Amino acid sequence: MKIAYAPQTASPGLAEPVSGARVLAATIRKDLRIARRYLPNLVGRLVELAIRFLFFLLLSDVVAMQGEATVGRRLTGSDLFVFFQGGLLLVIFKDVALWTPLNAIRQDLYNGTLEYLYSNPCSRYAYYLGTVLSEVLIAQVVFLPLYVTFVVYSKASPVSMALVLLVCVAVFFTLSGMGVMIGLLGLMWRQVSSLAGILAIGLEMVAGAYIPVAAFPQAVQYVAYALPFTWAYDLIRYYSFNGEWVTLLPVPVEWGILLSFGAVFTGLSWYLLGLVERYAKRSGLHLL
Amino acid sequence: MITVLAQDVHKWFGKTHALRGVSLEVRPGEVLALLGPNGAGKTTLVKILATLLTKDSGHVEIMGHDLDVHVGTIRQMFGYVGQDTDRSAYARLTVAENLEFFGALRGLPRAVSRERIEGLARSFDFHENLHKPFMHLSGGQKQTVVAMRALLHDPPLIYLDEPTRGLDPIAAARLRAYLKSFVYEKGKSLLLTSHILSEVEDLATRVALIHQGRTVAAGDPHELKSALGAAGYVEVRKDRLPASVRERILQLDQVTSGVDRDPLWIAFAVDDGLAGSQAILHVLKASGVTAPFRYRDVSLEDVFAHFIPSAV
Repeated sequence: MKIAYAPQTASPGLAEPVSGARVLAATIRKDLRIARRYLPNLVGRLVELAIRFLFFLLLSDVVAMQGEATVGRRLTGSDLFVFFQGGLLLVIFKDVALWTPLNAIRQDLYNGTLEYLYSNPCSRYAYYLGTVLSEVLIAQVVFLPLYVTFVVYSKASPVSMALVLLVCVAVFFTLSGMGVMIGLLGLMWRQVSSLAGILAIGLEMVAGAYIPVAAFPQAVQYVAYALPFTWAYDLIRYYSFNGEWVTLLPVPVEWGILLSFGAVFTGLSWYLLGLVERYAKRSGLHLL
Repeated sequence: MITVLAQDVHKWFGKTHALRGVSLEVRPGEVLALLGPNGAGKTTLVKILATLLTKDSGHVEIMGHDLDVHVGTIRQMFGYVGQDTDRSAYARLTVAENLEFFGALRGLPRAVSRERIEGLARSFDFHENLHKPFMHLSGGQKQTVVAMRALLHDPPLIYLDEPTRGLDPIAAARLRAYLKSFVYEKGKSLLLTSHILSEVEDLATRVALIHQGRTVAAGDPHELKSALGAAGYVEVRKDRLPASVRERILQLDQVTSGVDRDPLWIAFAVDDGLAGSQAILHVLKASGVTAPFRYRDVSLEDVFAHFIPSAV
């Protein structure tokens, strides 16, 4: 039987590139919906925060003694609170930026949606950025109350408070690129998730989240200098203590280092995103 | 314009030469079915065409666009249904929310997505499931969602890797009916892999048999069946057929060969259905054998067994 074929058709607009903004917005909407329907995640977040707080309390004596070297006096009471609170604010942004892309890849592997993502023309960067931004929005549930408490207890000026926020945003910008790179490692090797988790706790410690960097032996301090968040913790303490905190390097230099890390990580992650996809597609790795 | 053109495609995974020079064509208004045993290279080939894997050598064009050059454009032109459909969408989102998100990744505005989701739900009689979370669907329903996702942006080409696996007969028939209208009424193209040969017979306008990374035969199903040189098969119960009678049947002019791959039945290929059946029946009667006896046309299973005997 001969079949009369209709002319081949495609949807109007099919050849147009997919807008990154649309991908970004759709990803944020999707992640917020999922978060709303899976509240145990939020409870987990609060529990994690409480554990960190306890950890801070355990280390309070060490931090108090370091006060002499950092602000010229032994830290007590609200000083300690401000020290920890500043660290916590940054931890929230740092964790979101650093782990969200890896978590997104892990979730997409579990959901089986990664294959779809990698066979369509949308921007992968917009997708991963969308997952990070939606996590930022979700993290506000924890961040905002902490920030308000921080503002109330800290004796810092409004400008310093604003600069604390700016440090958080800069850390987010800097570490998002690093997060995408960790995510890419997770794309190639599943074991990265667990290894990175362990490594992160160690690096967080070294970077001065819980104890000022000055308290560590010289060799550990050199490791700390190579980490972008070391400079962010230092800056946030500087602004929290209204300029009393003695920074590791002059403040403008620390800002320069932090932002340089950001530019390098963003550029590198953008480049590696394409490179890893090509590598994965050539090698036939587990996910593709 | 040829929708899919693949020439001499090679793919290595380490030391494994998964594709050893596969070539194929899919034209508008055509369904090409890739057949072959497990591990033949079908899924690898589909993944290369779907830009999920890269080839090591060879040339591929999708609607005139070189796969090595215009990947972004090519990705707009196809829908893809992979094998793992049970976990292929966000578990906590509803079907409609999932499809809307996937539509956005394809660049569809929300209003257009919603309109198309409604249309597809009508076609697949899926309305009552649209607002259920994906995780609450059965395996077959999930498979339907994935098929709907592949059709959402109304692409000119669809790749389906075992599309009806896990679907109940009614849902499978509904999907096949939709795909037929997609191909024959809209003039679009479909490339599918399937182990369900009856499905391939129903859908495919052409078939390519792949074995150990090579195309061993290709053509329309009728041509491939003709290549076997038999009009049909007369099958006789083996346990009632003495060896001497079997030999006499094989000597008949109308019988071209004997196929012994079923534990119960032996099949005699005949060049004329009626004459061959009569001749075999005559031998059985003359020998006093009262063995169960049946006739069937050549099927794709026979084609498969003929070209890839080691897989049977």
